Amino acid sequence: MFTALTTIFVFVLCCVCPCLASDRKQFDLHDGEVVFLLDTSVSMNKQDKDRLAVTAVRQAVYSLPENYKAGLVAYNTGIQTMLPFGEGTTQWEEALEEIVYSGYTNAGEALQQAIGMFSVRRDVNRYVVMLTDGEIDMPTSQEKDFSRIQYEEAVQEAKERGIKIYIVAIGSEWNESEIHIFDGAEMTDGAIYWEGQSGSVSEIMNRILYERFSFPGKVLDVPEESDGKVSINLPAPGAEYVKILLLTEQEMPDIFVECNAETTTVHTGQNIAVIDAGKIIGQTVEISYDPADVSDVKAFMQIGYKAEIETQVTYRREMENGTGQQETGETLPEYIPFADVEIRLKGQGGNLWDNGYYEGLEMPFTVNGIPAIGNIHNGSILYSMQIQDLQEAVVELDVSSLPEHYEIQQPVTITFTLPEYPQPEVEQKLDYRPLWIILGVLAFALTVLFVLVIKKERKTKIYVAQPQTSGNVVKKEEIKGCALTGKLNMYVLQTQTGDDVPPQTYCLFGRQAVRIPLSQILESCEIKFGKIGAENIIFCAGPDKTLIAMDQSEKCTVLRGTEILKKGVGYPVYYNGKLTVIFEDGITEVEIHYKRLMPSERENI
Amino acid sequence: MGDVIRQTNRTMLMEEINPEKSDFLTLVGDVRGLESLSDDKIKEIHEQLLVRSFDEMLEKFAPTVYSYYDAITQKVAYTLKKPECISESMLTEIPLNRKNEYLGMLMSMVDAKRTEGTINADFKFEKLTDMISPKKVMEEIRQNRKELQYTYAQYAQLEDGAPQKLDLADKLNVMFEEASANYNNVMAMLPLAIEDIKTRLLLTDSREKQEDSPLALGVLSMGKGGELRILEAPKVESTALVAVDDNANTGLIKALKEDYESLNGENNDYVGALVARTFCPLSSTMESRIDKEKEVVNYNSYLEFYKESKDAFIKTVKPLVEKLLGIWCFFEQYPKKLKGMRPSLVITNISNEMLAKSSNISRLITYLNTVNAKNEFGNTVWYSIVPSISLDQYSKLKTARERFKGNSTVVKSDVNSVESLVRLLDVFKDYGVQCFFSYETGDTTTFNTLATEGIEKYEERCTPLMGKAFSEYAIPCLPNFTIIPKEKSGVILDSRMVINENDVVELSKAKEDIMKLWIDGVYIGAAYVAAGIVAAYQCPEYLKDRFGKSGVDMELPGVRFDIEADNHSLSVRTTMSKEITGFTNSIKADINRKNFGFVFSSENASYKGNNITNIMVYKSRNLMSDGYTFEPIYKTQVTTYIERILRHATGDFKEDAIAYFFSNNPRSQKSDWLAKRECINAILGKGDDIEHTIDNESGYCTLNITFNGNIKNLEVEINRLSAANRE
Repeated sequence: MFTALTTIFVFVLCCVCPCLASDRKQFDLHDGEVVFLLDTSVSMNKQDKDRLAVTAVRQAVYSLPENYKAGLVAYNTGIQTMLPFGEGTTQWEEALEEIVYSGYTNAGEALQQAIGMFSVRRDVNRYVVMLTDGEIDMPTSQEKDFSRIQYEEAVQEAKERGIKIYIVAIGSEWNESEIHIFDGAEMTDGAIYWEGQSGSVSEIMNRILYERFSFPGKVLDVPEESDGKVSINLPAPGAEYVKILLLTEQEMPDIFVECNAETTTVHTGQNIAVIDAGKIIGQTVEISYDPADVSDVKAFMQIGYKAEIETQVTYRREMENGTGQQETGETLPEYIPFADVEIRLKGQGGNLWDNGYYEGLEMPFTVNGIPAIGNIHNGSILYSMQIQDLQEAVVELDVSSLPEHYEIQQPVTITFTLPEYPQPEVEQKLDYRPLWIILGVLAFALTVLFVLVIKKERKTKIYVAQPQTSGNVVKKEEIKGCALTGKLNMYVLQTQTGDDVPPQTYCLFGRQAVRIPLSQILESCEIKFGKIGAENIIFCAGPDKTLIAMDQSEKCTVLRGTEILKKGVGYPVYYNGKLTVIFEDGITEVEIHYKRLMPSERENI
Repeated sequence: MGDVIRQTNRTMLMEEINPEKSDFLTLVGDVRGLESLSDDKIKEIHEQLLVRSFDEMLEKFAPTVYSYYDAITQKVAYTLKKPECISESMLTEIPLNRKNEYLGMLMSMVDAKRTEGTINADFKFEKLTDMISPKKVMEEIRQNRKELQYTYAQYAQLEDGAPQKLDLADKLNVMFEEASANYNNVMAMLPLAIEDIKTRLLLTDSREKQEDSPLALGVLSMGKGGELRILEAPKVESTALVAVDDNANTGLIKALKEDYESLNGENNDYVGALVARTFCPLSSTMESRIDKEKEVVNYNSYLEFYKESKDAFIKTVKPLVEKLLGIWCFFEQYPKKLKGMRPSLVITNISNEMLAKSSNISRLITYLNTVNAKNEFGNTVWYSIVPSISLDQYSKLKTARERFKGNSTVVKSDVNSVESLVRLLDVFKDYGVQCFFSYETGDTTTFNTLATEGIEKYEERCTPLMGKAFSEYAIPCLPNFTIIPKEKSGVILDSRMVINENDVVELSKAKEDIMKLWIDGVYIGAAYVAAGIVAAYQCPEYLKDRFGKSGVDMELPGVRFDIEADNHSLSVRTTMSKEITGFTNSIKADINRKNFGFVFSSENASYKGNNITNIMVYKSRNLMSDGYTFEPIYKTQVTTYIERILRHATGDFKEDAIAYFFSNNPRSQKSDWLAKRECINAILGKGDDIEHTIDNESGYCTLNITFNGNIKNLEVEINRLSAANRE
């Protein structure tokens, strides 16, 4: 479809970064041989008035990658033109130019000739692309039958030699119920394409090339309104060749290419153009066409690089778990050598992978036949391997998932040369037995000391206030063998913030009979007042299940009943006794009730 | 029981009745350093807070509602707390007593239902709600004025100085005092004015002179045209009175007007005439022309204002009225005619939330330490009532400090939080006080709802109170009682007045002109009735009244009386009338399976040939559970009772005295109890036993009290006369 836009838009086609390996198409990197079998019978004048079949052959020939060879057999009653593999573009152009549609259709002989053109090389893809508008047709029935037999024999041979036949059925007069020539495609696992139904002849040819032959290449996304210039960024500089095929349903405009390359040629047909550039120095190909208002342009590109694998090895070693112990008692650490192999791909313009196109790309490769996948990061792949008992490693990259063609000298062999590590020093096994004995004695002594301290603490002598009947005398008493019993119910009467703190219970029973500061009790009840002297109000177990309360603070006031506790003197509090504590801030006030715990209550603790 | 424990039913009500009266916290005062209160202090507290009847409560606490007029909104406002910023002269105190028409109506309703024995669905509530309409007010006045006229006529006939005249004068003074209650404030005049206009416009075509001036400023007043309005500042205007021409009643009219004038400094002749007409409604006095349009407008505005103010009044007093009715029902459970161990109630008169504050709870502890932890049991508190517990089981004390950021909850203002209940229960358990609590009143906690939804809801709400040391003392009471159901609480006051096309005044028949107000349902917390009935059956006289003298020991209280056993619940019934036809079998099966709570039932039953129309006790359990079933409440009280008797009898648990207490000596306490085991109120009934074991090492005595084969333990610390065991 033509657009009326005259404005020239410049847009840049960046090569789309290849997807992850798992998502990518696998390309066929083998060499190929293709013979185009072109029906030039007189009926083609009617079915292919515009000689689109000839153009499609030209398009295909120019589109084939470097490792593909093309041949041509143009046939009618006999062989009209025949071009063996390896002919240059001039011969091709001349041959195609001279093609005239006349005579009958002797496909049998033509196919035989075509099959005969293929080499016997191994690992080569072989294809016949047949463009015809009808069944075998000869002046006489004998000739017709003969041609059919020839055709069948040729198909049989093709099948045996692994040659696939693709048939492009041109025109619309395919009314026979059984078409013999299609057997060729069916028997050789080829395919049949119908003009119109499968697209135009040119499109069909393109599909055969990129879908069936599956050689590396990619479709370039040309926007609808691409009038003007097309700028193509290549994955890396130094490409061996770039082939760009442009297709349009309209008449192909004049194509101009700006590219820093040794050779640049443009082949144009009625609605195709093939740009062929060799030895590209830069990384950009600029294409412009005139008139600019051509739309519906389809573009396909092949890029070829020559490259070699570069490796750099860094050695390291790691200590093995469970180092062996010798009988002498000396231990020798055992190390496992590792090689960190850095793999790069060096092309004409330097390291190919140094380009953003490759960054993060997953690259399959094998090391000594073991498959691995590495991520290209900062232009290289890092691979670590244990090289104990290994002298060398064979590295081979698998580039079949990349849409570019890489001619790589591979596999490469890395020879490992371990650096000279200093001999591990033999660790002298120390005899720690005397130390253990000393430590044991020390621990025992400390335990004894601790027990003595605890005992002493339990026997702590404190000044205890005597009952009033004894004349308010303060006597120094030794508190020993007492256990904490009962519980403390605490009621916060007043706080600085005026908050209401729910009543709390602190169980004394079962605790060590050491001195317990009030701050610890408050803390365990999650009552936080800050530093207001609670740490200096001490409780400890007294005789006869009493609780001794002692105020050692400077400014707190503690009352047992209505009696103010003297500083530093312990006061026994009996069950149901009540203490009131007014803290140093003069505001915070807590009431503590000392309560007994019944045996059944103790069981629940 | 003998002389040791004379009462086992002193109850403490944790509610506020009148904030203006002394409260528990104030009376107990500062308890810093005090372990107990003095006898004088206890006496003072009980003088102020202890009541033995509903009337005594009304007298001591004088529940009051305060009203004032808001000049900006032109409305009358009511409040239960005396507004401190408003001067006394601007406040009207409305006492809530038996004379209060609203409270009276509700009490009459309970009485009427009890007499009729009908369920809520059949009871004609509108018959009684009608009592607060202007028509009924007027009917009462009519009766009063008849007596007034009759007495005044007698008084007028007698000569001055006659002794009989002086007696009649005294009588008249009382009657005038009562009458003046109706005209000493405009609010009380409203029903009078409404009925007065209605009478004059609908029944007569007399004329009335209206040269009114404002009654007062800053108070509700009537304008020159008799229109109702509230003005901002007081003013003094004309005080001239209308001359009347009825010779027969001249004296009475004059006396009424003089009385009105003396009571109201700023009076007007519209009101004066209204007073005269109301209390001396003789046709000959009605000579003034009636301005129909104005009177109709006045009538409608009076009615509207009356409705609004009544509405506001009812909404304000509802929480207080429910408390008052609860107290009334508590005392109602014990028959007035009996002279035994009458239940008594200590009303804290402070909000539960305030009492439960950490800073205040030690006052409660000190009080209970005084009355419950001594060997004098005259003032021992055995029960407590905590009504209106929030249905939100995680409700927090309103003043509690939030230590950790929790879920934000909206706390209802007139309910008690579960946290405050927990704090109180923690104290009650130390002093053996069983706590009857009920959930907030409303249409979600009634018999009807229980009958349809079952008890799961209550059980779920009580979950935080189970498995705790205090669970034994927590008694959830359900369901709450309904005095007026929400849907039947509409009161039709009257209809608006209109002038029809024939220029005749008539009451509008249009639906939208009917003035109706909604009381919005009145309920009583189940805890009041539960505590009331349990307190009542503590009295041996009460049990004798129910079961006959033969089976009751008159010296023992009803602590062991198991209301669930045998047919006890059929004999010991509440005074409340049935509300619904009953619970379905599945609901009852559910209640029986779980044995949860103090549950009332409204069932069809007959006993000794009589149909029972009262609500009965179906379950009486506390929240202590053995994992399968909850424990009957009597077990806790018997245990507490035995502990107290034991403490008293053994001189604070002296070892040798304990041994004697439980010995087989025929004079030992145990033998004495066993001898009475056939009685319905035996401390140790059939299948009960009591044993003791002494652990000399730990110094504790464990009592194993067997109730029908189930053992309950009680531990006491033995007094070895050492300093260790001082109490």
